[in-house]
Parts: sequence; C-alpha cells; structure tokens
Amino acid sequence: MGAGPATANTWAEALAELETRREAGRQMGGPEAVARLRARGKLTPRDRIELLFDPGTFREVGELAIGLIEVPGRADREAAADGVVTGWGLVGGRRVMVVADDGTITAGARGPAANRKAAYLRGLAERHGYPLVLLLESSANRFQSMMGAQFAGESGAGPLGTNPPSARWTRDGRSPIVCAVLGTALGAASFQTMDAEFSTLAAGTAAMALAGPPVVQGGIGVETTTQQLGSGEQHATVTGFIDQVAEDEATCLAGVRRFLGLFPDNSRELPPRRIGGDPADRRCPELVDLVPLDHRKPYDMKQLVEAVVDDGELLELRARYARNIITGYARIDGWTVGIIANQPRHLGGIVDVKAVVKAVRFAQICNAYNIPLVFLQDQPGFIVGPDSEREGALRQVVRLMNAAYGATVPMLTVLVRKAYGFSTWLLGGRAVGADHVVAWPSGSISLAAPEIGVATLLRNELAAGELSEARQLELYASYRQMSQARWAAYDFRIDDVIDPADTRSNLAAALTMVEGRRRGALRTRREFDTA
Amino acid sequence: MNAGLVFAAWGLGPVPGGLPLAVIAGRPVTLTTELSTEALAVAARRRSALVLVAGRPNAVGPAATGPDAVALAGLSGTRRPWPIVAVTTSPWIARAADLGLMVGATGPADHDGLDEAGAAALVAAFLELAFDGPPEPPVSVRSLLEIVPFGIDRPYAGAEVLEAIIDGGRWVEFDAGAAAEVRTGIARIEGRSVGVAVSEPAVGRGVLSRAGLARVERLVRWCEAGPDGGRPLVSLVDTDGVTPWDDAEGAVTLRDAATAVRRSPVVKVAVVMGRAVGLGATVLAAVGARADLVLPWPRARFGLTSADAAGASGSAWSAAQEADVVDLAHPDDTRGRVAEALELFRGARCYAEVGEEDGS
Repeated sequence: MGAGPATANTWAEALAELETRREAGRQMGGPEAVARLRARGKLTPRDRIELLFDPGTFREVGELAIGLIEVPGRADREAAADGVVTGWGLVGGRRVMVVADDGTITAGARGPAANRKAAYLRGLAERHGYPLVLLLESSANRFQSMMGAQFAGESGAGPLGTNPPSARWTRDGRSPIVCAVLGTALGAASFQTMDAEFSTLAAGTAAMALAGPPVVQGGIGVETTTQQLGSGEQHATVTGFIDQVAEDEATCLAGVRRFLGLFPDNSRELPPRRIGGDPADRRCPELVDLVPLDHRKPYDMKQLVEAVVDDGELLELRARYARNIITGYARIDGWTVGIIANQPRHLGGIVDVKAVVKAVRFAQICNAYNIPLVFLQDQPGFIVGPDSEREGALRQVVRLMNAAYGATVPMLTVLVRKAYGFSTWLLGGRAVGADHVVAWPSGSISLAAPEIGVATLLRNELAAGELSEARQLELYASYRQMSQARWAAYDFRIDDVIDPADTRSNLAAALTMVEGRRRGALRTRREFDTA
Repeated sequence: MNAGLVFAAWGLGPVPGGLPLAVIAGRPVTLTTELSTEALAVAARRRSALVLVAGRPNAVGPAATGPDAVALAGLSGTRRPWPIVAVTTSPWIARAADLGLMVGATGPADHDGLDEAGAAALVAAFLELAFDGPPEPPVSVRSLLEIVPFGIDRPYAGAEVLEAIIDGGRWVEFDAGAAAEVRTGIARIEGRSVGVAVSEPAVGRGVLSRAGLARVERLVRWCEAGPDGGRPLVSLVDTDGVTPWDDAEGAVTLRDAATAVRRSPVVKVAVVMGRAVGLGATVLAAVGARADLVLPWPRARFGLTSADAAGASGSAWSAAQEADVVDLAHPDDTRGRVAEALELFRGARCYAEVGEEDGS
C-alpha cells in the first residue's frame, strides 16, 4: 500500500491496484493490533458488523480512505480506512446504515477522512430515511489532529459531492440513531448516545462519560478510572442513560437487531407489522392467579406484560433504573407497541421522579415514531413528601403532563388494580385523550386511596379521636365500593370492564381500530428529550 | 400499443366533444389539437401523458391566445406527474412542453426532420421510458475497458458508455443535435426511469458551452417534474470545465445551471469517467452538487482547474484516500453500482404489513 499517487498506466494496473488498496483497507491496525484487541475480550469493527447484519449483506464504502497518524518524535503511520468502517447492510431484511469505529487504530479515534465517511453515512441515513447504527469505540477525533487553533472547526466545505449539513449536530433527524457503546465513549460518542433512539453498552469492556481520566486529573486533580466515571453498572442503576446494559458485545448487537426489528425505518412510517404464531385472540386465564385482589400484595407486572404480548417477548428498556415502572417494546397481534406499566413489586408501583423521567422519554420516542402506547396501571399515585419535592417532583409531573397531552399516537390503557391520583390521568387516562381504556374487575379508580381520602376529609375528627376504628373501616369499605371501576364503565368514563383473560384480545382489537388514525398522523420529525 | 392514434388528429381542427384517449406503451395518453385549461385538467385527472398535436410538421400550428395563453404561462416550470409531449412548431406550445419532448420540423425541437412514422415511434419510446417499467438487461456489449482508453487525453464516445449501462441500450434524447459536448435524455436502469447526462470528451474535451448548460438545466427540471420526489439524475462525467465567457450573461447562465443542479432535491448519482473540472463538474453533479453518490473510475481526475486535475492531488485515488469520494468503481461494475444506488436512494419503504418473521 502506498499513500502516494497511483502510478498505474493501464486499466490492468489500475484495477489491480484498486484490489490491493481495498484489501489494505480491510487490514485494520494489522494482525498484532487485532490480536491485542481480542485479548481484551473485544471484537474488531468487522466482527461486529458481521454480527449486526444478515449474512453477506454488508456493502462497505470508504475502504480506500487512508489516514496519517503523526506523533512528534515517532515515524508517521498510516491508518487503514482512517479508523472507521462504514457502509450498509440488511437487518432482518431491512436496510440499515452503519459507522463502526476501529479499536485497532489509535484506540478508535478518528481522522478527518473518517469523519467525512461518518458524515456521509449519516447524511444518507437522514435523507433517505434509514436507521443509522453507530458502533462506538471512541469516536473522538485523533488528539493530534485537533490540537491547536484548528479546533475552531471545519469550514463550511463538506465532503466532495455530499451534503455538507449532514456533518452538523442536528436534532431534526427523521431516522433513528442506534448507539452501541463498545469501548470508552467520551465526548462526541457520549453526546450521540444520549440522543440516540436506542442505546446499549457492553458492561466490563465499555464505559461512557463526558470526560476521561486524564482530563479529570488535569481539570480537577482527581485520579479515577473510566469504569469509575461511567461503568455499565452506573448507567444501568444510577443514571439510567443506557437502554440496555449487556454483558458482552454479542448481546449488545443482538439487542440492536431486536430493537431495529420493532422500530420503523423513520418517523414517516409505521413500524413493520409481523404476524407470528401467537393468535390475537389467545386467552390468558393465568392472569387471575397472578394478580392478588388485595391491593397491598405485590406481584410481578412483568409476568403480566409477557403473558399479554406476542410470544411473551418484551424488549425492556432501562430495566434496572426506576424499577417501579416498566418501559419497553413488544408486539401485540404483530403491531409494535410501547408498554408503560407500573411495577407493584418495587415501591408498590408508585410514580416517583425517576419513574417519570424514564416514562416521559420513552413516551416521547414512541410518539415520534408512530408507536402506540399501551399502559398497564397499578399505582397509588405520585410520590409525595419533602424528599421528592426537593428532587423536583413538580417539574417532572408537568413534563409528564406535557408529554401525555401532546401525544398524538394511540393510547390504550388497562386498569389492572389501583388507579389513584392525578397520575392515573397522565398515564393513559381518558383525560389525556386515551383511545381505549378498560379495567379489570379488580380495578379501582379514585383521586386517592380510601385511607388517604378519610385522612384528608375527616382529619379534624381523626385528630379529636372521634372516629372509632370500626367507623374508619366502614368508611374505607364505602370508598372502596365507590371506587370500583364498573361505576366508571356504567357512565362510560371508561370503555369497559373486561375479563383479565381477555386482555390480549381486547388490546389487539383496539389496535386494529386505531390503525387508520395512525396512518393519517405520521410524524414528520422527531421530538424528544435527551436521555 | 397504437402510436398511430396520436397522429390521427394531426392536421385536424379541435376534436369535437372532448379529448380522445389513446394507449401508447401501456400508458393512457390524452390527445389534443390545442392546449386548453380543460385539456390540462383532463390529463391531470387521468394522470396521463398529454400529447399536443398542433399542426402538421412544417406548418405553423394554432397559436394559443387568450385563456390558452394564460394556461400555458401557468404551466411552464410547474411540477406534474405526467409529461407533456408536443408535436408542434407553435412557440407557445413549445414552451409548455419544455419538460417533455418536442418533435418538429423547424425551430427549437428535440428531434427535427422526422417523418410521421419516425415521430410516432419516438413519441412511443419517450412515453415508455418516462415511467418505471420492468427491468431489462443491457444490450450485449464489449467491456467498457475496450470502449474507454485508460489515458486521460484519449477520446471515446460517451454515448457508447451510456448505451452499455442502460436497459436495452435504449434512450430518448432531449435537444438532439444541440451542444454535442454533453448529451441528455431519458432512459431506464433496472426498470427505473432516470434522466441521463453524458459528457462527450471527444467534443472539445467535454467543456460545457452555454447551450450545453441549458441542456443539463432542462434535464434537471425534467427530473424534478417526476412523481414521488422526482426522477433520479444519473450523469456520466468527463468534462474539462466550462467555456470561458467575457460577458455577464454567460456568468449568469453558468451560475443558474450550477445552482439548479446543486439545489435540486432529486437523487443524483454521478459516475466520473474522466475529468471532473471546475463548475462543469458541478453542473454535472460530480463535485459540490450534493450528489447522493459520486463514483469515479480509477482513471478519473478532479480539480478546480485543468491544471489542478492534472496534478498529483487530482487523482481519484487521492480523493478516495481523503474520503472526498467514498469509493472507486471498476468501469464494468458501473451499471450494477448505479442500479444499487438507485435502489438504496429510493428510500426506506413502508413495511407496515409483513407476514411471517423473515429471520431477523
């Protein structure tokens, strides 16, 4: 390989050189660098691409690019393909664009040609409506090419023949971006991940943070590691920034494939409907045994969700963050839906600040991509008290309100048990325009739980000791009776009270009913908040 | 197919009782002897091609006046999903048909001097190629390596390259005979109707004259007038720039042509066969024209000036190394790569109804 001009004088020489250069571009950092990477339990970009795409469908572009690695005092080296592998292929038969950082070359940092390649792919994805998958190793610019005043940025000139604006940071995109964090994602890579429609991170070998240890050391004098700054564990449980923290890269990529299978190609289309072997009218008699009638007794809402959706498959997002609420994608009768369900197993399914943060972003993404929302409610209301007030509960309540009232996708709601407080309205209530609200016979709807109602309305009598325990129980029973969901059905404040065993078929029928409206309301741009 | 019907009205007066329909190449065609608002409305409603048959060749057709003139003025430059084909020498109708095809004996026509049968065949071919259809293999040809010499200064026929990569080797040319350094027209690639522009490096090294710029600009407007976001523009580029002018008008023509191509929202695929120099390269969508794909052959050279293109940094290898272009192509892969790009740039489809899981 030579970086200089080709010396071919005939077609035969030129075409031979073309093959030689292509082959050189595929060598990545060379066999030793590849072996070192693999020894660290990591995959090369080409390994990852093989796992991502349907076999034999990857079409590479930009493999003839060559970068130059210049470090003072060292001999210049060439960077094959300039350290990033780009192209497109099929995932489940549908086209997807990919930009994969090469960890065998300057730890995945990019040169100028690599940035041009990435910008080209991003531009194509946006212009033609394809999902873009970023397999992130570092994605930072090579330090040496950014030191000095050149950091002021590129001029307006974009890659020859391509669309210069594609290189800009933009939130106007109409196609989903999927980020798999497979190395140390700092700076640009972490920003991108925060805005992605779906993100995954390989625990152990990957981390994500705003800035890495050398910058932290230089900036505030604290010694630290990338894992301390942004490990998978931290993002899974503390920040909730990553949708799926997986144990290894292969699982990450399987998650990406699964997500892409459920998601539309862009915000102007409906998600692909895939009708499998699970009949829409399958009854779920086991649900009656799963959910105790006693509102204080917990159960696993995830089991309920899995019983209702196609083939029991739920792609749960941020599963270990705000565990009192479940968010994820699944299919019902082949239609992709976004599930938002209270989880009584954790904090009684209460809606707290973290739960709202998790639910709002998810609902916004579903809304941006024409994915109907299915709410399964069993919740005692918003969390109250000095701690949550200090956490800014009010702001989150209003964010949820804005998201709920602003949603234009169909919303279908099943009131499983408790449906108390204002959060009942905001999580798929009729008040926010839900298309279909049904309750189980165990459903109970009210401004507040009976105990809270009595404590508020009769607080003077309670304080004066004028209410006997027997009288209190009598009042609770009375409120409980008044809260039964059937009363709401009698005057059509909800659509129906259904046999729990019919939950799946009921939702399937409702999805068919709202399909026409979804086609009429395809979004033209995505609108949602950062992770 | 009954192309003869088009010409049945030739030389007659206005057709009484409305607009007759014919089917040419499987497409309904509305016939009219003069342009009227009503004729346009009927054609639009039927989404058919409008064929204007105004007067015999060599004869001056009925000039549009009054309301017809207004309808024509409103039609020029508008986007419609159906092409207008004029067989005319009327200047009004000629202007309205500038997104279509003019067959006439004199004046600014696409094809002159045809007899009736020849004109009928041309109109039929045009109406066929103006729409997508079933894919056809290219006609069997030699390798492009035999058509195009490797040396950058050695001449070859650009049209021969074009005919080797399009379906059945068939195309209908716009402005035939004008500005021979670039030829434009319509063709199909794997069944997809596309606008094509091809440099003729044997004619003054493909340097674009003012008339050449006008040819390309008209082609771009044809592409934009197509349905569903327009027809793709495929260019085969080997141009050493544009003719220098010393008048302001020439500069304006150049600016307008370059801007029209750059700003055009249609899919643009440029194959750089040889030189891509200066604004000539922009007008042919090879440089700075926001093309979706620029695919040079290994002999290609880029430069702001001829001298730049001849230098070391002007080689296609250098452009690929810097990722200014994302790939180089073997000339014999051109058809396949262009077809692949057209399929890719058709955009993501709606997959709303898919049957059994397809193995994802």
